[in-house]
Amino acid sequence: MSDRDITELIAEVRKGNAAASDDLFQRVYGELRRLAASYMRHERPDHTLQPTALVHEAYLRLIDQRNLPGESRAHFFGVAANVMRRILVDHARAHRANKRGGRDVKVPLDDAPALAVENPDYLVDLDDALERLAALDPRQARIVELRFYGGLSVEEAAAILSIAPRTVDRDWRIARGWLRRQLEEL
Amino acid sequence: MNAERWQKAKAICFAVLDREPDQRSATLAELCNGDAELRREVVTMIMDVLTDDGAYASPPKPNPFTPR
Repeated sequence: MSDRDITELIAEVRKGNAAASDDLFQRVYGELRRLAASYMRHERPDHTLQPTALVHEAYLRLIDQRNLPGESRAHFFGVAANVMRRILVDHARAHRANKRGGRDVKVPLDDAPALAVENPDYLVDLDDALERLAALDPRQARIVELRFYGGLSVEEAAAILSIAPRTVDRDWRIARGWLRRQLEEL
Repeated sequence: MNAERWQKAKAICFAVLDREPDQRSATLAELCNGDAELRREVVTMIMDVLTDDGAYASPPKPNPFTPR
């Protein structure tokens, strides 16, 4: 599938085509998986993965930016953030079984995605907490997803969700505080 | 806390923050209407908003691929 095709795919999704939505997810998933695997192969074992950088690199590779309206760009990042989260959590769940051993590493929530390789337990716990947050406040969970896993700014997330940046900022802060307390209680 | 309760607390939190600082305490008391547990939940949210400095200023991580 060419670059132009994925741009058209996004347009189809925006019209409500469910099959195109699945295709888009698979296409972004494939590219991000490939990028992440390549990154992990070539870097030192003690590296930290920068998932948000991978999301942006996938964007540059997949999208013909000359033909993409702003809303479609936002749509791409909305999908990619969700894909990145799944890749990281799948990776973490696969590795946590043989890396069990204490939750004594306290890390700032900002760095959560960077811990996919070195601290899989943390990433799985964060994902579980995010699911609980989604039950209370789906929009807050989505904002965390866009910011953590998509690397989007408050303004970019606001554009995707069609709400004011100030509202995103407040939701983000409340969600972070809640998540931090949830993870500290483990 | 269930979702309904969470949304109620959040609505009060936002309403309080929209007031001038010297009116916030009265607004909080009025909207919580004697529900001490709700008040605690709202205050926690307010503190998260007011003390989480820097969240608005930048994305969570530096990013070499930031698109235009």
